[in-house]
Amino acid sequence: MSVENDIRKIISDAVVGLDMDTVTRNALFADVGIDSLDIATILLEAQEKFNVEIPEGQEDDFDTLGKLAAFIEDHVDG
Amino acid sequence: MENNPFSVAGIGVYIPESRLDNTARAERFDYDPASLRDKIGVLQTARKAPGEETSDLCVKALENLTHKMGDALDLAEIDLIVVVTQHPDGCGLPHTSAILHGKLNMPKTCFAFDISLGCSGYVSALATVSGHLMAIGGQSALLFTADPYSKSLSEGDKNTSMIFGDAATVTLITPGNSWKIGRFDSGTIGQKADALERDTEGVLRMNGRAVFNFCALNVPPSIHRVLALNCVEMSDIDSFALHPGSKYIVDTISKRLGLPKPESLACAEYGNTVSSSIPIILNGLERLQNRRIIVSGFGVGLGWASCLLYSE
Repeated sequence: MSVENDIRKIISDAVVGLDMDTVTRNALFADVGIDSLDIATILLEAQEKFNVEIPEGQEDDFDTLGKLAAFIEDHVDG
Repeated sequence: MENNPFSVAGIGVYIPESRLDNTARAERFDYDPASLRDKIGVLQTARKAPGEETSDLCVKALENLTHKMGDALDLAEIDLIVVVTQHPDGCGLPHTSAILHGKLNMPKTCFAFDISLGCSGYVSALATVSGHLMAIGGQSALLFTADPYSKSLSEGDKNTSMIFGDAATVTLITPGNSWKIGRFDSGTIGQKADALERDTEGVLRMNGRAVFNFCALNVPPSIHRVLALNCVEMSDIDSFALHPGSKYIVDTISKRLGLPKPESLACAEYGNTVSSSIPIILNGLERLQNRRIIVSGFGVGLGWASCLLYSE
């Protein structure tokens, strides 16, 4: 499964009632109903899933599925 | 290690009647009302009166305890009073517990000190107070919590102003069988100290994600360690008194522990009262139906303290 698909699963589990069809690669999380608390969970679950540290204070850099997936692909081991 | 002979013998609570309505504030902040209810979980925050000092809140909490205990509470027999606060009277010197000592006309044999801790303060102080009593051969202490965050809140900061409320509690610590103080787990991650701090203007600032990560990653393992230290299982526990920082944090910790999410936050009608939050929850629990309770406080530091309270 690709990193992007894994993150989609994390988002789907974290945000109750979210229409995942709206979560396209470039859609802003805020525009599809994912708030800052949801993002905190998504980033933490992604950190644990991929064993990658996502810096605190840089949440604004990960405001779309595509940006978050790209960061993880760049930093994941192997 | 010998068992701690001390117990939580009684709790008094004072929550100021004045409230700020979060629904109106959420509208002003353009914050989703459903998120206010389901994620922040605080609908109103209690606010002390402008002239009310931290020690005044403590006095009112003691009035509540005195009302409940009557002659069973004799201030002349108290060996120690402790105030957990990071918002002391005046400028912090003298310590608030000394001011309170004077207001209550405590005997000079009663020692007084403050503990500078936030949300982990009550649980941590159960260890400090019982240890101090053991060291001096004392028999009883009054443990106060009073941390009126309204002293350093910016009411225009949506990250903090809709969460924190003012309150005070007092706990009578004496030898006894209900609720006895069990073994502890505690820790601090000082590298994250600036995640929750009062800035140079005296205003509280919070890095929400850093605090969230800290709680989610450290509190569930702490609770598992407390269970092991006290030789009990999750299924033996009647109640979990988790510091209600926000509903989102309690829900996250509950999920990670495999516990059901609470329907609403314990402090929904008055806010996160920092070190007072756990004794307020305990005050609402029926002792006979809650013989084993895990208490866990976490926040400023960033630090946590967890322990078991139990009845024999």
